[in-house]
Amino acid sequence: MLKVENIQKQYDGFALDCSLNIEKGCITGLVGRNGAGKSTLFKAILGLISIDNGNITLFDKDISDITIKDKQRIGVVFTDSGFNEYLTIKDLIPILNNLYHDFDKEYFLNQVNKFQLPLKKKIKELSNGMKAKLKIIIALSHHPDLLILDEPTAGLDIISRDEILKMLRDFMDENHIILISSHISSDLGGLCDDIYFIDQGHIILHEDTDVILSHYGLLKVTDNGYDTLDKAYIIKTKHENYGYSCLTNQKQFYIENYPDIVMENGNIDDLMFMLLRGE
Amino acid sequence: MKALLIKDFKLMKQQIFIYIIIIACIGIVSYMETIVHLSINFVFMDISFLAIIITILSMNAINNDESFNSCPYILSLPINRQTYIIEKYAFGMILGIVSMITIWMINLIIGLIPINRLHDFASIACVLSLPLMITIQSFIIPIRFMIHDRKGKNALLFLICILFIYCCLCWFKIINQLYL
Repeated sequence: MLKVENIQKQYDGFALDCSLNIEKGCITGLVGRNGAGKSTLFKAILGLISIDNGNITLFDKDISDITIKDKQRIGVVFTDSGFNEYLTIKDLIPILNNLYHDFDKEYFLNQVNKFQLPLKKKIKELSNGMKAKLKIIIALSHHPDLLILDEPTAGLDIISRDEILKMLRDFMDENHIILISSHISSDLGGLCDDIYFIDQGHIILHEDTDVILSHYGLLKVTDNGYDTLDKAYIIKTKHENYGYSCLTNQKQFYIENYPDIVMENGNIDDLMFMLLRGE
Repeated sequence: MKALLIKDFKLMKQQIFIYIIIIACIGIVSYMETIVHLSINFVFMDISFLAIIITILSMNAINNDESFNSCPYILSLPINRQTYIIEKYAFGMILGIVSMITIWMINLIIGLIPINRLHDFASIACVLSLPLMITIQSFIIPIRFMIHDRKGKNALLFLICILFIYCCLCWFKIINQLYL
């Protein structure tokens, strides 16, 4: 449903060059540090920036052939961009009604009431959590097929994040796609089916979330232990005060063959840290 | 486009009081000038001022979209760039037509001029203001889309002031040739 093939975009001091593929019924996460190219990739997918090379296929069409009708099937959330905040939530209703054929006013109002968002208050007077929820509600209110979320939970407390993630889980079914970027790995770990790690405009790893959590691990060994360690399944290594920390994608091998070894279960944060900082 | 127009008019609602005062002042002053026969030139100067104000309000609609970094989000909605640009022109024209009619009505109501006195200068000036608005917006709005930094915007405002003075001088010349 969404396929990005070898797209390239050059800026001063930055070059985007990546591919990704998302099928129906999948929630895909995009993780990377600030300035890695996540937002640039999203803008390229949405046609907001031109690309120098490569292809983007959306809804089985090239991105240049996407029509207004196709854009009606997309819901977008940007962390730092939205409607002018001098509008009230009530002002948004006729705007959305005229933008989307499938705008569900009843659903919109139900969700606004459920999250106790004040209809007559200007958006700029809402808290960060309320603004984030409003953006998600707007994106979901026309029942899109594809949801593109650029750090939708940035700056929110755990309760607000949980509420937003629940909305996304409720939205998801076998016909929908979610592409979400976030710095909060715990959000992605509990939500995404697979994760792309991006750094300096390149995809450095793509893995299923289940595999990351079950097969990946972080070994902590002393200098002597590192010398005797079988490094066949070590992906990255980082020198620490105590010795070495080693990222492996076959932790079961090390559990069976080195029963005394100190092993931490893999998580997205550790994986990203080792991919970026390890050797 | 309708959604974008609704958005811009709802944002303009914030400044509606100032807008009404400006239109009312222009309407009353232009009527007073015809009554006092101060100078026909000033009526046209008022109408040129109206055209400039409407252009500035149209530019303000673009400023509203750039504030809060709304542009990327708006362009991700089911609209295309062409529709977005056309909507800004449409917004300006609708404002201009409404303002023009309002000023004409103010002249009618205050002066109780019978409706068939179409040779009233203020009425003629209202009608003539429309092509003036179209002309000014047709090159100011594209320039505004090209300019994103503060210096450029200030330069554009300065250009608009120059335009206003130029329009006034043109009107003086035309009227003096026709009537003097």
